[in-house]
Amino acid sequence: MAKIRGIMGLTKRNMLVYLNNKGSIFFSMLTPIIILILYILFLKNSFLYSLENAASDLGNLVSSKDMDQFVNGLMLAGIISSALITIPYNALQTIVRDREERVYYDMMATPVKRAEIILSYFIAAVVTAFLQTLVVLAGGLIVLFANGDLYITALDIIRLIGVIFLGTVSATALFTLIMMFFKKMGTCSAFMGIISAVSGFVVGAYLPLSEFNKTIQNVCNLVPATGVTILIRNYLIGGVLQHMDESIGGLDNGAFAEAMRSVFTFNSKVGSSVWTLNQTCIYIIMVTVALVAAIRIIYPRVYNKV
Amino acid sequence: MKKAIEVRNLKKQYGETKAVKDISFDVEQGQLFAFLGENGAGKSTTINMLSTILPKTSGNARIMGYELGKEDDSIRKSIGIVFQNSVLDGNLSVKQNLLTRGAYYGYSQKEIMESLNSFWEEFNLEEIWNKKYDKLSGGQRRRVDISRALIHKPDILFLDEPTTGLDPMSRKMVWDYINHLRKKDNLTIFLTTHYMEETAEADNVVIMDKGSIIAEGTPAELKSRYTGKKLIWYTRECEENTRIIENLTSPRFSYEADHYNILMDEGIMEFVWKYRDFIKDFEVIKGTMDDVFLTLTGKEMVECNG
Repeated sequence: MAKIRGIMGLTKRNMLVYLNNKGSIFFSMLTPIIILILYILFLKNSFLYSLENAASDLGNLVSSKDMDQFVNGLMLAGIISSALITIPYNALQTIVRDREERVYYDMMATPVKRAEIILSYFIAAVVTAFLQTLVVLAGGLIVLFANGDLYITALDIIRLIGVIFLGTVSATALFTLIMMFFKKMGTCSAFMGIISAVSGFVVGAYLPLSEFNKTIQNVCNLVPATGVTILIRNYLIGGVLQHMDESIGGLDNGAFAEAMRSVFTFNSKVGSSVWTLNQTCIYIIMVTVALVAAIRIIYPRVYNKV
Repeated sequence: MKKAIEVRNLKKQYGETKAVKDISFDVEQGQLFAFLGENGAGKSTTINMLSTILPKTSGNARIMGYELGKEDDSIRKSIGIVFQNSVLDGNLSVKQNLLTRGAYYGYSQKEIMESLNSFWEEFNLEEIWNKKYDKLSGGQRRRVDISRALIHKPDILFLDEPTTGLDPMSRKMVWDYINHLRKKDNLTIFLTTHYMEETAEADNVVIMDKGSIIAEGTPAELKSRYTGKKLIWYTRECEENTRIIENLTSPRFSYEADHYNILMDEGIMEFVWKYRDFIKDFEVIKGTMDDVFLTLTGKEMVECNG
């Protein structure tokens, strides 16, 4: 019981430090906000144009409302996916701040173990990022539902929540490992700049991944965050895509839907192999386990070299 | 008397740099033990080793009978530390800071409040309980720091320069709290400071320089061992008076405002008696701890924060 209270106390402290820092919360949402603004300014029109072009030979079989919802869903998938990168990163900056200001001396002089200190940072980041992203998902779904039908099932929503959890854990594992190498907040903030810039592309929020050359596509597909985005995209707008396909009634033998799935990357492709959603999911879990194992090996060195 | 701390041949080395070189000392239970030295003398490194934060390179230490390096959990339960730079979170309230820190020791909220109640009034925690830590004055912060260090009812309190940067009134207040705790709970206090007057109350003083102990004893012992006495003769400065002083063997003197300072190891009373017609107003004072430090290290203690 005492051990659990110790971990809970540390976790609560880490969560409070992040949640009481409004600046940190704002910066964690900066990339998703930028995606939203770019979407409103021009991305929506650009994506809609591609869709309308592809559907131009099908007459009025694909409704503009469905296309609008499909593109809105793409935007929400991009926002959620980038949030799943930037929120855990910001929440985990406490590790570096505590190191720089020697706050963790206070933890190390208590009966909590070194592994429990890292575990508490990890849990705090997962819980805050998971809850914060769920708020983004809920807000996004409310807006989309108000705009029209999304053809999303309760099972899809449960799967979305599951994927968000998986995405949070995988990003937190990656960033916990990275944070161990940072000693100064300045380095941490500079890296955040790179992450913010790159994340929008990795998750295909600014441009579909299919627009990049094969090498970049392969590299991106090996990044767990890209897999998470693909899963979110499938569960969030797979329904509306299927509805559009049904509206066409088989006249194109499913070519329109297949083209959309290919252009907007509904499946991971590494080399010539196309992964199923289950394979993508298993890959993300495997990478996450490997990252946790790496943290396990590295943290004692970090915490004994003070 | 039982030993609270026993240190034997303790060493700490970073690569080629020897931060602590083979030090040995004892601290008895209930003592106020003062650890003196300039920045970089090895004081904080020693505290960090004794509090299990830093691993020792070699040597042995026992804290409340528990062996350092083998029974670290028990040591961590028996010590509380007030760090030189505060380790509490500025954006959390005093309540949030203390409740989360108490949980590190496996305490429930009820147990933490019971512990705090034992000094709730003396530390006047009521008025600052819901205030953010970074909104507090220097003195109030130190009160909270000490409360945090005492939350698990330790046997030994490490105070690493607890009054640095505080105004004289706050310093006095902090010392009133510390003295109150000593009397009430027979707490062993391990103090590092660079305010020499703060060591006057110490039961034992250890002076460190460049990682080694260069002197140890009670303040009175150190003063009589390393400083002489000083005769202060209140009179005007004139040739005749100066000539009287110059009759001494190897005279060391100076004139300040309205008096001569004459440093003498012995023979003060004989000198005064001999020149009683001239020396009407005088006082004899012992050397100060500043003089001890100056004699031992050739350096004056200066206020610094590193």
